[in-house]
Parts: sequence; C-alpha cells; structure tokens
Amino acid sequence: MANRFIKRINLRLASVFKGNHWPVMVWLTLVVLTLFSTLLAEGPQQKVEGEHLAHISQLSVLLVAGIVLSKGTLVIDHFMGLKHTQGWPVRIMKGFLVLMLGLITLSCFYY
Amino acid sequence: MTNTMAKFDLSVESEGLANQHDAEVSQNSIMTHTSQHKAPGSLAVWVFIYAELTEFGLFFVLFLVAKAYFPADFSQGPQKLSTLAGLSNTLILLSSSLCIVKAMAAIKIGNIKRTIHWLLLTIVAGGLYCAVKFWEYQRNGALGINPRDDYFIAGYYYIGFNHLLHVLIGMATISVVTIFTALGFYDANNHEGLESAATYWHMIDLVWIVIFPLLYVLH
Repeated sequence: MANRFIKRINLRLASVFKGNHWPVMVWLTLVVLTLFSTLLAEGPQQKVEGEHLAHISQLSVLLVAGIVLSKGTLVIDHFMGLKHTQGWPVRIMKGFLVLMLGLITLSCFYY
Repeated sequence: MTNTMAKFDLSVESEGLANQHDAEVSQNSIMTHTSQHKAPGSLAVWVFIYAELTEFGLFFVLFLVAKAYFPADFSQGPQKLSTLAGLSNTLILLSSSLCIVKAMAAIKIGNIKRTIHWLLLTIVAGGLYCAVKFWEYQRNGALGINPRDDYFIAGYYYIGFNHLLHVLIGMATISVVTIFTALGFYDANNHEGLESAATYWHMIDLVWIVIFPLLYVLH
C-alpha cells in the first residue's frame, strides 16, 4: 500500500518535471522566495535590539537583495523567455536589475 | 580511362553531396543561432520597455537621493505601510505572469480557447492588483497617511501610482490582444502581437519585484 503510494508520487513528480510544468515550478519558487524575503525583513527586528540589530539588518538587506536578484533573473530567463537569447535584450534587462539592486543595497548601508 | 572517369564522377558526386550536407548543417546552425538570439515580441515593444525601465530607474534614483537628504523620513517610512498589501500584490502579479506564460504556451500549440482562458485570468489578476491598491490607499487615508506627510510617503505614492498606471495600460493591452485572439488574428504561427503584450506584462512584474523591497520590505 505504502509502496504503491510512493510509486504514484514518484510517477507524478516525474511527469511534473518531464512535462510542460516548468512555469508552475518557476512560479512556486518565486512565491517561496517572496514569502522568505518578507519574513526575513519582518522577523529579526522585533526580537533583537542594540548593536546586534544593525548586524542582522545588514545581513538581511544582503539576503533580501540576493533573493530579489534571483527572482528578477527567474522572471527574465523563464517568464520573459530570454534564457537562450544573447546580446542587448538580456544584457539591458539584467543590467537594469543589478544596477537598481546595487543602488538600493548601497543606500541601505550608507543612509 | 573509363575507370578514371567513373572515379571522377563519383568523387564529384560525393563532393556535391558533402557540400549539400555542409550547406544543410550550416543552414540548420544559422537557424538555431538565430532562434537563440531572437528576443520574444517585436522590436517596437522592446524600445518601449527600455523607455519604461529608464523612467522607473530615474524614479528609483530620485527616491534614493531623497533618502540620502531626509534619512529620518525614510527610516520609519516602510513601517507605516501595509506589508500585507505589498505582499499580496507581489503574489498576484507573479500569478498573472504565470497565467500569461500559460497563454503563450497555448497559442504556440494553436489552442485558441485555452489562450483566451489564460488571458482572461491575467486580466482578472490585474483587476485584483487594482482592488488591493484601492484597499491600501483607503487604509492609508483612514490612518491619516497623506502624500504630503513626508518625502518617503510622497515617493511611495508617486512610484505606486505610476506602477498602477502601467498595470492599467497592460490590462488594456491584454484586453485588446484577447479580443484579437478571439477574432482569429493570432494562431500557432503568427502571434507576435500577443507575445509583445506578454513581454510588456512581464516587465511590469519585474519592476514590481524591485518596488516591493524598496517600499515595503527594507526598513
């Protein structure tokens, strides 16, 4: 009974990864990353105070920036369909993302 | 002599076949190469997208410059806003992007009915985004948060309204391509207009991915 159940799950997972389900997997990844980045920014500040707060805030800013960069790259590569393109379209899109995130991160550290 | 001629004919024939094979391989590689380089949508929509990105980029830079001059306004700013509203709109826009990816997949196999179904879901998601924005602004009004309060709130309203305007433009564009799809203008081989609208919608989603941490998350 258990074996049959595990086999069925394995078959289902195999069909998900082999079939045309990649947009759903990308979407799920984006949702999980969004929830994680929100929790990361909201969580530590309520419990920690003092000098540790500054370190945790800086770390969480870096982590949030990394997550946003990953999310943007997923949207550009998989949703916009630029993964297999080269040249100016993908460079400008990713360049915009990196530049904006770089400026936002720097502003969090200096101001 | 006859043998030599026969050998010559064979060598010419085999050389011809080899050249033909080379030409086919070369053509295939060019086609693959071209398909790898071609961005989805028309050139016009890409020019439009880069203009929009420049506009949003300038807003972000001005927002950060204001942050440098008025750090007190910006340090407490995000705490006044509803993170739930920002999070909901992020999830709604990500879901709308999935819907339009599904619509593109459906048109590529010529399934018009399914394409329209996913496009309508994208429009519904855009409507939900507007509804959440309306609730968010109502909540701000009830809490006494005014665009003239401080520089952070002014920037938040300016960027938020601008993005809302782009969502409305995107919804109008998708409504038009939905009607065109229903009228049979697009099929499996010809769907560049639909692809352009989808690319524009993804750009709106991408900009919100940057706006969400800038306004709601990073305290």
